[in-house]
Amino acid sequence: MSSSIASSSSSSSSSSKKEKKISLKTSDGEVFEVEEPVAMQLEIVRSFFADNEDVTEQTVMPLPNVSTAAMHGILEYCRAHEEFRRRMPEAAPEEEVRAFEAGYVDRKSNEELKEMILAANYLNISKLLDFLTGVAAKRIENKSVEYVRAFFGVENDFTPEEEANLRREYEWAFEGVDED
Amino acid sequence: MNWSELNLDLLEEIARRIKLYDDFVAFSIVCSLCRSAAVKENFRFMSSHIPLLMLPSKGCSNSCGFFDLPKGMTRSILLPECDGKKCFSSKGWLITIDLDWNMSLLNPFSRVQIELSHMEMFENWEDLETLNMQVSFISKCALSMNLSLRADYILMVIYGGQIANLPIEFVKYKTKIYLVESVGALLVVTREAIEEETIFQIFVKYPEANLIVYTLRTIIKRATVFYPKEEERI
Repeated sequence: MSSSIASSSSSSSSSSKKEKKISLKTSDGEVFEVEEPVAMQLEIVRSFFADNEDVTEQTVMPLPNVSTAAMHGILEYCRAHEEFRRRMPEAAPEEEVRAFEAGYVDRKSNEELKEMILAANYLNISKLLDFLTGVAAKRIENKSVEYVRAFFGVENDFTPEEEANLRREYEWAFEGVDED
Repeated sequence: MNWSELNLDLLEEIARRIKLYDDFVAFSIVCSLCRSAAVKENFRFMSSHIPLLMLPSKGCSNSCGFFDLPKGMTRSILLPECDGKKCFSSKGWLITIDLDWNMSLLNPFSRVQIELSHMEMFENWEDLETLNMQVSFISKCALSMNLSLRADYILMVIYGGQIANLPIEFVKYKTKIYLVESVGALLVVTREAIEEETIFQIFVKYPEANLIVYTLRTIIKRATVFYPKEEERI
């Protein structure tokens, strides 16, 4: 168990010592101790604990498809939303949620964004996945095909003839796109 | 970890959140998997997209100019199919009429064209033909829905005479078609009436008490509903 993680989780749990924690192990071997209501936002975790009778509080659930970096981002989002939820019934003002989300993604590079989409998909957090795919769609707004290819890091698998035909069909769509 | 691990489901989720059609098209050309994700059904922002304004053609031309308001630029689209024709538009399609009164539906981007029955099938065609009203003959064409999205569509054409209160909106719901006039009156056309024969007589019911009956009758008399043949549907 990494000492840095242990210290970061202890600081966030200072409010309540009795709060139940769920241990989640990322692909690079770090163990995160996560407050139960936050961990339960991860559908894969919720069903793991709901479906397996022999798991205990000491069980460390391995998440081989999630990196430590992605996990930090995911927990930041889920913790913030848990905070918003706790303030119910005085629902968090829409603007406050939006301000959080805007600030949250501003700090994420394209690389981080894509890692988090893959992780959110794997962990099955529909709210976060909704939000992140919307951010990805926004980031390719008014961009060239080449930019979008680089953004997704995918290879063009069309033959030159196929691509030329596709582009001819949609020539009108490629005027005035951003150069970057 | 790499985006190439993105599966089709995730790409579809992203495609569904793309707001501008241009971006949707660019996305579809990225790779074959993106192309599978960017099927028309996944473009959800059809109604909120600000329409392109079609510019009058400058004489004989193979292309048409469309002004794009959000980008403030004119796009030139290769569209020989509409050269020399009068065009109406509805739900992203053009309804074109040539000098010999042939009518077609034309998608300006995919250039899919659907021939419609010749206008001589219109009721009172002989009377109307002699009027030589090329410009004002048809007052309104409207599709019930975007053909790319659904196969079950109808085209309504209102023609002839002076119609004071043009229908401004046109909705098909279950077995009825609803027209809303510019003065706020609601016309209802029943589906049963449409399916009877080629030139459909249209019955109109009076669901609201405040209909303007004169206008209503004018429109009933002069409305023709086409049902494109099965094989013409996309």
